[in-house]
Amino acid sequence: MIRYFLKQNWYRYLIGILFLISVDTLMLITPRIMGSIVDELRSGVQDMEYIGLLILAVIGVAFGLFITRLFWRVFIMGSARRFEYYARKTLFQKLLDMPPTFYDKTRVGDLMARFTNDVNAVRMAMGPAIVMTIDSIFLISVTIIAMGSFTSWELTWIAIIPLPLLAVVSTFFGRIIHKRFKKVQAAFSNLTDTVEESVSGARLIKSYGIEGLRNDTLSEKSDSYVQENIKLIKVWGMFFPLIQMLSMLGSVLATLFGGQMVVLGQLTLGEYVTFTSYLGMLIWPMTAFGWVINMVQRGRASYKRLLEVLEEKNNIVVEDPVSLEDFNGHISLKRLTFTYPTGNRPVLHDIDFEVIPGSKVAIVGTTGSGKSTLAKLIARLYPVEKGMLFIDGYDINRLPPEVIRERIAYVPQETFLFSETIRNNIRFGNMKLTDSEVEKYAAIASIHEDILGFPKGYDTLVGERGVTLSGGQKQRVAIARALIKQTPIIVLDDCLSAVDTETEKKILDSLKDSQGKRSIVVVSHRLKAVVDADTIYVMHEGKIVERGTHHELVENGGLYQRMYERQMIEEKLKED
Amino acid sequence: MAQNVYSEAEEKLKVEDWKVIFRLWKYTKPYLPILILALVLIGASTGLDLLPPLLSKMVIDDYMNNEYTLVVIHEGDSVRFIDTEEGTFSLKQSESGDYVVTDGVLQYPITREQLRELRTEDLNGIGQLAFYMVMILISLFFINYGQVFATSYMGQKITHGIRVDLFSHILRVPMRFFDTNPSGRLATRIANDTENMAEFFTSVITSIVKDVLLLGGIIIIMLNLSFRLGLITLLILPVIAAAIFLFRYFDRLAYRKVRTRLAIINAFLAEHISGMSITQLFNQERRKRDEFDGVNKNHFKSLLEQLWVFAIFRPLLDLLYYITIAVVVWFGVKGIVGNVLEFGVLVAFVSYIDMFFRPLNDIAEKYDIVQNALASAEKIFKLMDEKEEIYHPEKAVPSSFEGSVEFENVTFAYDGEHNVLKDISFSVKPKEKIAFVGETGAGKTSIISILTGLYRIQYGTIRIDGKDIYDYNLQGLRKKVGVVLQDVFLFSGSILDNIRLFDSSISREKVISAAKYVYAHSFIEKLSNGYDTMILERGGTLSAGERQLIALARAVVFDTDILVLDEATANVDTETEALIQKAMERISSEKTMITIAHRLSTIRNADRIMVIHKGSLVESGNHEELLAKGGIYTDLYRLQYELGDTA
Repeated sequence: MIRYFLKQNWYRYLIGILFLISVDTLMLITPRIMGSIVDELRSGVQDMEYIGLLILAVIGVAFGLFITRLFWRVFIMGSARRFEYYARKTLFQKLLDMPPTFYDKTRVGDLMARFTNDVNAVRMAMGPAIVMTIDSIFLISVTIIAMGSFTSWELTWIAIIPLPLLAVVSTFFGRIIHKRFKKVQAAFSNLTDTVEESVSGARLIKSYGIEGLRNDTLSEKSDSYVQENIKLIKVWGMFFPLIQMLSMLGSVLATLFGGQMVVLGQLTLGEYVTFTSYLGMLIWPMTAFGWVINMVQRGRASYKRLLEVLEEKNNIVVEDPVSLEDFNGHISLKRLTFTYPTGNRPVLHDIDFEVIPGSKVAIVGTTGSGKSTLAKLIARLYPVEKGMLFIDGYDINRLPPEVIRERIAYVPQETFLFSETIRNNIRFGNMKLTDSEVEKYAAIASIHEDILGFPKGYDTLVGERGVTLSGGQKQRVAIARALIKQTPIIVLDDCLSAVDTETEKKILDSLKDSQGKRSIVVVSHRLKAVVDADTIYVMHEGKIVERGTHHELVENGGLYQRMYERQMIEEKLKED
Repeated sequence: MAQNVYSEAEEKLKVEDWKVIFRLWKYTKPYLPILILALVLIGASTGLDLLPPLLSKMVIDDYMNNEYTLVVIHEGDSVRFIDTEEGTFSLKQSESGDYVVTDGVLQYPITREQLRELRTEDLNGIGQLAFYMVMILISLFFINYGQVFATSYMGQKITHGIRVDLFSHILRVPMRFFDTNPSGRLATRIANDTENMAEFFTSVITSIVKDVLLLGGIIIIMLNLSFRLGLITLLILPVIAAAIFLFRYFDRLAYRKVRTRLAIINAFLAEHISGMSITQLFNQERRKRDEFDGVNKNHFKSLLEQLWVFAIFRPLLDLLYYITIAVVVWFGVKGIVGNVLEFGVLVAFVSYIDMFFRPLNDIAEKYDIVQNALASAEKIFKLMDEKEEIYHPEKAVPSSFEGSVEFENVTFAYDGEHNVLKDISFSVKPKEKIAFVGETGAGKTSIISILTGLYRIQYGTIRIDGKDIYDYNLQGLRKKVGVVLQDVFLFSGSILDNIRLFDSSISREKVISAAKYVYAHSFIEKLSNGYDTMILERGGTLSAGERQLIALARAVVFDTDILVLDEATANVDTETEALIQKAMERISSEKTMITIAHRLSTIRNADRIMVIHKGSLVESGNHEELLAKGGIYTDLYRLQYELGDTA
């Protein structure tokens, strides 16, 4: 990723670096001019016009510095930020291509951390670190050469003795500080955990009247956090004073030896002044040296984490693709056994299942029996072994996911709406849809009336900044969203659980009416809503245990019959 | 479009700064000596910081540039130079650095040895000043270190005090408060906001006080060194200050924009990662990629804006610096030529101007931190003003209860509006076994919530041993009523500590015997470290049943007289289930036992069953009596116990 980015942007860096080098060179001029002014003053001639000219030169250089400094920043730091943009773009593109299995094993928080912290760390390595490296190497060598040749080599060597120590100290301390800082962070998260756990467990704490004991625990954690902080301060507090001391030690040496040289006529006063300014210019790049090392190290670790995501493989592979020009919508599963890629036990065993075009098929069963998994496989969310799942006679592995998704609308169990307007949520799959069409589908999903009741109607925002929709309202919006795709097959994965039975039944009926030929596969835990299904599959512990129409199954007296009876009693209790 | 949707609401907080600072002062008071010490150290370090340019000036003016009036004495081939008041010759340094002795007409070269002899005092003086500088450097190191340490130490200790206070306060607010305030937010207040306040002490005290002192010191020294030159510098000062504050202003604006847009990016990402499957199911990858690109580009643009602010202002400040120096040098040179200014003064001025920029920049930068810290402080104090629950510590609690419980016309709503329990009356005799049954959401568990006054009831009276619960010391009362909830809360810590709830006055032996009493011992023994096994992730590795056994052991260890238990519905294996039943049987022979029942065996063993339906007590009696009635209990019974595994 970095290589590609540099290929595209190397000239920006090059220009920036040229500007940076100009800055460093220009900076060398001013101390010399000041020295010349001093010597001119002491020469006895004191040509004010000449001095005036020199001062104008200082201002001229200053303007030059202004321009060059402006541009190196724009070019180098600008490129680093361009990289940040580019990295995010690349990552997001990757995420769009990843299958559900990837999201099953990756936490959102972890991905977010890569998007923020890691991208930042790499950016730091690609901007400030480059600047500091060049600054350090170029400025240090050039300044030392200037010092030596313009003034005195002897003095130069003496005065820069403490400077390498700056680099050593900043590297060394940087490392210790980082280490202790991590400990502080650990202590802090320890503290946060205690607080969070105590607040979550407030009820237990109050129930046993142990508030005092908890206070002691917190006090202890807070105290150890304070102790870790103090340990950090012990080092951190020393860092800057130490840098200050070391850097000023150089000027003391310059004063002592340079001063004596001036007194003994080995150095002019002007040269002395020039020398001390140059010395001041060395402090920053020497200190920066240690930071660069640490920054590059952190950047490298973060870059690795970014590559980890970018090198993930998509496990949904299409072999020998078919385009499915004429689509009938015949789905059949033959002795399908399925294990989640992250799991180790099969969740579906020996499933024989069929959807005839235009029919309504219901999947019911106990909690955790595999109903949802079955629905997900039909939508090709997970990879299935060859020879088990066929659509219009083609093995599902030959059908690209987007082809299937154009023809099968799958409505997942967990309703997810975006923080946008209700209108945009409904026409998610086709933003060109007109308002009247949106309303038409909303009406089919029995949500139109509800939407009109909101303050801004279809323009109401969903989520924290808008209206909080009830679970049932969300589910109905999601149905409307799926309907606009006008697919020949619609798979409802227990996605009307928060809607009352009557409405669920009404919605299911209108799905069928609107398109005479549409196949409907519905997973539901409410039997009453699916009594009129053409076929009902009853699942238990990953197997299909019964199949038939409602009447056949009730007659059977098996699991279905017991479930049905249970739901009748529940309903009666509610009505009482 | 996207940015409208995700735009972040500007968080505006009215900060009543002075009130907040006054309250902060109360926490600072105990550390007054450290505060004073820190201030003294800051004063000393500022003073020492100001010295080196003065010493450099002395080196230049008094020793390097020392004026000599010499008399030239010829001794054969050589010349000798004697320094006397009446001398007419002076020392002049040529462009190569070599010195000559001249009176303007005659000119003699001077050897290095002669110079060394002549200027012994200068050499010694330089050596001495260098020595002073080293001393200053060393003391500065210690003083600065001491000062940073003292302020940080104080900041940490004060924050610790506030944190502990805030925490203990929060544990004392009524239970209802926790229902409406997410635990994450409260934790942020206690941990992070107090942390921001620590910044206040270090930033404000260390930086701002020092910056102000430094600025003042520089101005005074400048005016003293040369009133004229000082005045000229001070005239430029407002321009510099304006530039710096302008820079900070624009920087702040740009930074806010960056932050807002970054928040938009993050909100977009968080949302779209969670909703990735929807995007994919609808084949909308391309649109979402473009949308993200828009959001991302917006952020990038704001970053570039911020970059330009920096790119322009940072060099601009440098430019101003050089111009200031140029102006000062120009006037300084004039002064030197006119013999009203010493050479070293000009050099010192250049150093002081150098020092001038830092504190100004610092003050402008710290403004935000201070605002932040005060905002956090305000949030903290607002939380501290939340009313505490009144425990009535003055009221007594008997060392043990008989164990009778009585509800009289109790009506209760969590939010004060929607009643979950309606006009409920019943009484439980000491050591009786009562089972509550009812549908999910019927209001059974609310009985546990109000029994010990965790939540206040709206109407009616609850009595324990014939006395209103509010006539007891509530904290003491709660210690006598054991509660086992469906989902048992475990702290991170050992099993041992979870049973005795970190009360180290309860011995290990007592914990073990309690665990044995409730049949928890055998499963605890089997864990990797027995009683010292650490609980991770809130006890996620233990089954619900095992956690209930631990909770039962708790109730026994704390010598409770009444036990209220909400049976776990899921994730209990039959073996553990049997152990819980045995434990309950044992406990109920000694304590009053109220169970929210989900198990057939529990209701069969109960002395009395109470049926709660839609918030009311509708039926009561023993199992056979209720079944014979054929009412709601019969339906519930079939639903929960006969058709139990069909959900």
